[in-house]
This record gives sequence, C-alpha cells and structure tokens, in this order.
Amino acid sequence: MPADFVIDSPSGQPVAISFVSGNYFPVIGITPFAGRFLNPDDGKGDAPLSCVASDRFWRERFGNAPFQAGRHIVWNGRSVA
Amino acid sequence: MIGVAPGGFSGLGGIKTEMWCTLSAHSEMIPGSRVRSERYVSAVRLYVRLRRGASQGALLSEWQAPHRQVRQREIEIRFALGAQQRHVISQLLTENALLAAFGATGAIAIGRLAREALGRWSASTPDLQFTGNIQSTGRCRRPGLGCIAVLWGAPDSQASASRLQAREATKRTPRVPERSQLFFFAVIGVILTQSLWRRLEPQVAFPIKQIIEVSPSAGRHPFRDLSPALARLKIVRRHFLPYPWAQASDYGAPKRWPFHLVESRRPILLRIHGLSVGARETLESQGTGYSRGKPDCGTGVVAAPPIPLVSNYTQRHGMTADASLSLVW
Repeated sequence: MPADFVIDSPSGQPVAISFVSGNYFPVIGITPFAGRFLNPDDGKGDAPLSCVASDRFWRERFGNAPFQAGRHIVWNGRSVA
Repeated sequence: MIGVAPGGFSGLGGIKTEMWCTLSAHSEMIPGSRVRSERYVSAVRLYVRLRRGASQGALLSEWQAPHRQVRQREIEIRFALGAQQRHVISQLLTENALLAAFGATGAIAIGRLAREALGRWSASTPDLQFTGNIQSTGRCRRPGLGCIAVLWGAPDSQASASRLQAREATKRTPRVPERSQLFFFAVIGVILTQSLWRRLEPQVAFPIKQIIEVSPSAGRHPFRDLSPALARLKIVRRHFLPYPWAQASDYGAPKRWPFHLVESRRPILLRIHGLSVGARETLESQGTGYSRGKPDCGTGVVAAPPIPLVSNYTQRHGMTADASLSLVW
C-alpha cells in the first residue's frame, strides 16, 4: 500500500510491522488465537522485545506447527521474542 | 513471539500487518528511528473506541468543559483588548435574550397549532349519549366495551347534562389562548432552546468544519451507507472495519461493531445514528487528523495529532473512550 511502509527483513522477505502501544489490542477487543497479546507492561524497562504474529505470518513461516511461546526471530542482530 | 492474532485480522491500517511490536521497540529495531525524538511524527494513528454505554450526552458533557474554557478565554481576550465590563455583559445578555425570544416564539406557534388540532379532534369525537336507566346489579353479561360505556356514562344525572352543554358552548366559542398558557409555552420554549443550544455549543467550540450525519438503513451493513457520505468529502484515508471476527457479545451482533476511523485533513464530526443493533443511540467520533507538509506517498499520508498532544488532550478532558496509538512503518 502506498501510504504505509514495508520493512525488508534481513532474510530478504518483506515483513509488514506495526508498532503499537500496549493497549492496542485491548482497545480493539479481539482475543488471540494462541498465546497472548501485547499489554502495557511489554516494552517497559528492561523487558525483552516482544511481538505478536498474524495468523498468516505464522502459517507461512512456521507451517502448521503448534504455537510455542518464546520463539525468537532475529532482526538487525536483535532477538525479538 | 508471545502470541498469534486470530485468523483474518491484519491490523487496522491499509497494509496487511504481519507482526505487531511495541512502540518502544521501534528505536531498537529500526536504525535511525526518530519516534522518540521527533515530536511531529507522521504515520502515527490514534484509534479510539467508544466504551460500552458511553452515550452521546456523556460525550457532549465532556466536550462542554473545553467549551467553557474557550468561552472564558474569549472573554478574557475581550477584556484584554479594552472592552468594558458592561459591554461584555450586555453582549451576553443580548445573546441569551435572542435565543430565548426565538425559542419562545417557536413554542407559542407550536402550542397554538397543537391547541387547534386538539380542538378539531375533540369536536370530531362523538359525545357519549346515554339516557338509559342504570341499575347496578353487579353482573354484566357482555363484558368489554359495552360495560365500560355503561359505567362511564352512568349516572344519567344533571351533572352530565351540564357537562354536555358546556362542551357544546366551547365548540361554538373561538379558542383564544390564555395568557397563562402563552407564558407556559414561552417558558417551555426557552428551556428547549437553551437545551438545544447547549448541545450545539461543543460543535461551535471545536474547529469542526464539517459534520457528517449518517443513518444506516436497517438490515444493511452500516459502512455501506457511511461510505457514500464520506466520499463527498476530501477524506485522505478511511478505515472501515467490518470486523467479521468480532464477538457476538461485544456489541450485539457480529459485523456491526460500532467502530469507525476517519482521517481527514480537516477536523470533522462524524455522527452515526442507530448503528448499534438493538439500541437506538448516537455515536460520535471526532477526527482530528492534519497534514504536515507534502504527502509522504502518492495518496498522501495524514498524520494524527502528535503523541504529546493526544495524550494531553485525552488526559486533560478525561474522554470516555479507550485510546491506542499505532505506528505503521
């Protein structure tokens, strides 16, 4: 989409990322398919970088593997859980 | 990764988001990020959803608080420019007097029309003529309207005859409103006008250039009716959220979630009437987007208010709404 930005991941495949505040998902009011969503405590202080994947992203990258909390991806040398 | 979003959900923006990270992670993941240092960051969007039970009246009452501040400031500026106290007071009195006169005139006119209509209706209603000899036996073989008529018409006394004569006399006499009635209608009109003006005041206080009124048709998706209304405006970006994944318990029924996002170069007031299924209520949302310089992309990017302004605004006025910031990058 022209008005948004897609970041090229280190692996070369574009990944669309939204940086959201901790109450983004509570405002929307949806429930996660697996695991949990971001909350206001995420990103505070020394908390590890956390992210939530879309269902499509999970299926394309991890196949039909069941969700496991704590899977890491490496982004610009930073580990994102 | 700490979780997976439900199937079909790809964010609220135009792009299909594949990952959501915290705002604080932006500076660590994106080299040269200026999110924290740049105050006027573009592509920052504020998403607001009305809380359940938040009514139009509650929002308006909250919006009246800043209006009072604006009015106070206006008066202070007048004093600072040299206006005398009697001039300001006379201006305020004139404003209220005009409003009161307008409301009273309208109410008197409506009252006269109502009286005439009531008189015509009363004249066309057949009088109950009953001259039978009533004996209350405590038994009624045909219960229903007949019994009611008998009980209402009885007893056939001098009093009922005098009432009939008085009614006939009233029909022949032209109806002239009494002064007390006019005064009553005037007071009602003043009250209604003041109430109406208070409802309109917040719109005056805020620099709202356009007001969109949308009344979705029953049985149709509300955004289908909303779309052509917004198409008449110069909306840079629109977000219509069908939300097929919304829980049925959220707002009555799925696919009818009262969530609307509008980004505009100019502030607008969006009113959607009767959007919530099963409840006739008015939802209001104020889009306060603005454009900063040239559009970043071909279709243009409208930046929401910068983060400090947003947080200050919502905190200062205590809006009855949940708010969230989303930075699409």
